[in-house]
Amino acid sequence: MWASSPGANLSEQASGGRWDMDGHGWYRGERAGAAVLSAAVLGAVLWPLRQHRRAVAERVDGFPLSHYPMFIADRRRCCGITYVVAVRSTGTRTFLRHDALGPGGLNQVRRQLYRVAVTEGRAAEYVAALAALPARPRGPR
Amino acid sequence: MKLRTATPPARLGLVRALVGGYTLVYLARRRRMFRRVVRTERALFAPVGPVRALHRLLPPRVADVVNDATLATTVLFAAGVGHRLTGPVHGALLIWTLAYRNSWSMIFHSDNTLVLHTLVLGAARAADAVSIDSLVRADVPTAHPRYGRPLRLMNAASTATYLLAGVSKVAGESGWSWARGDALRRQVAIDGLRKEVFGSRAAPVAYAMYRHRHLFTAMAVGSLVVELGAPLALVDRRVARVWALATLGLHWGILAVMGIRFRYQLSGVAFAPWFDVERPLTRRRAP
Repeated sequence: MWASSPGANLSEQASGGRWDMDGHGWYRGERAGAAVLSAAVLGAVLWPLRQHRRAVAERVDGFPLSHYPMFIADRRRCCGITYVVAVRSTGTRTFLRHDALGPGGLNQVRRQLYRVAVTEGRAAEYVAALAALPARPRGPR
Repeated sequence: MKLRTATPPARLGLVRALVGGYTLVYLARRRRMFRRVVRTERALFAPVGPVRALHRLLPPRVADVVNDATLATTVLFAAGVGHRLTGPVHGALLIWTLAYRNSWSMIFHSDNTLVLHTLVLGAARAADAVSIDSLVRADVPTAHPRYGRPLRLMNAASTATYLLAGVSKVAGESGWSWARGDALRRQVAIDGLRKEVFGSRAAPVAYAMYRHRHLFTAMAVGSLVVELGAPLALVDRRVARVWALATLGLHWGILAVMGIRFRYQLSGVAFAPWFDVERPLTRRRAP
């Protein structure tokens, strides 16, 4: 209903006479919907804060809701890094580029390597599978 | 910033087009890589986010179809076609596609803000202007608070993510001593070493800066001010713009020192909701 009558009240005049709008041009239920969406989004984004109440080992990261755990650990003066070394037939050694180890970029490959070789203790299996693979082309991230 | 301030629909529409355009480039460039990732070893799969609902892996071909469907809805979202339907569908597909990809690797936290922004835009009337939908419709909507609220929600979500990152630093093992910069300096060193042993190269700036401990103190303090002070950006428009520019600078600094690309932020699109991005368009139209 778009037309406004001479007897239309102030609310109808302000909304251009539309029956489904209030006096400020909002559709019925629109403001409530926006408020619910705002509360849901902000509540969800801040929800991971509760992870700080847990023990470090029990904290769970998520996507797209995160508590950004990469900043929690105190970086010591010494640290361990897991990486792959290739040995040529001549006996010389070289680091392998991350894109030779798998797709997805350096950080993805690094995490995968750590997960398989260290956490799951399958380093020999990892390098055996790697040796059987042809070289991969470079790609984004 | 007042919630009742009337905002032109072109501002929200242009932000939608920018976010959609960024997403299109981002996903299109990674299409082949996503196809490879879902075909890697099953043991690497550790579901995150909504993907936790899966009882078993998707067949790679199904994952490809979902990925391509996300690309298709990205085009519709960016162009503003059937937004009432394509907006929410695109939001749901984007969060799924990126979560599924992250389930095979590490979590790329740099995509968090993109997903949150897309979900808000998808649920809002973000295609009432600067869209195919608006070209088809006869009536031109006027400025209204409904077009400003989603932008403020996007900004609130952005500031919340930075606040969480700041809280994580001071609530972590270092506590407030994180501000001294030693943890940051070691993180830069470790990151550089990792790059070297994985055949990449550490940023030359990191080598040059490493000896100067006070520079890391300054960077750590600056980082905490930006992150913990982020909610203040929601209070005043001028503070907001200073904060947005400072945060953009922070990301360029991270790129220079650590070589880490927060692409959405570096592109500037993540900060578009803070500015009157429609101004250049309206000026051009004015006689």
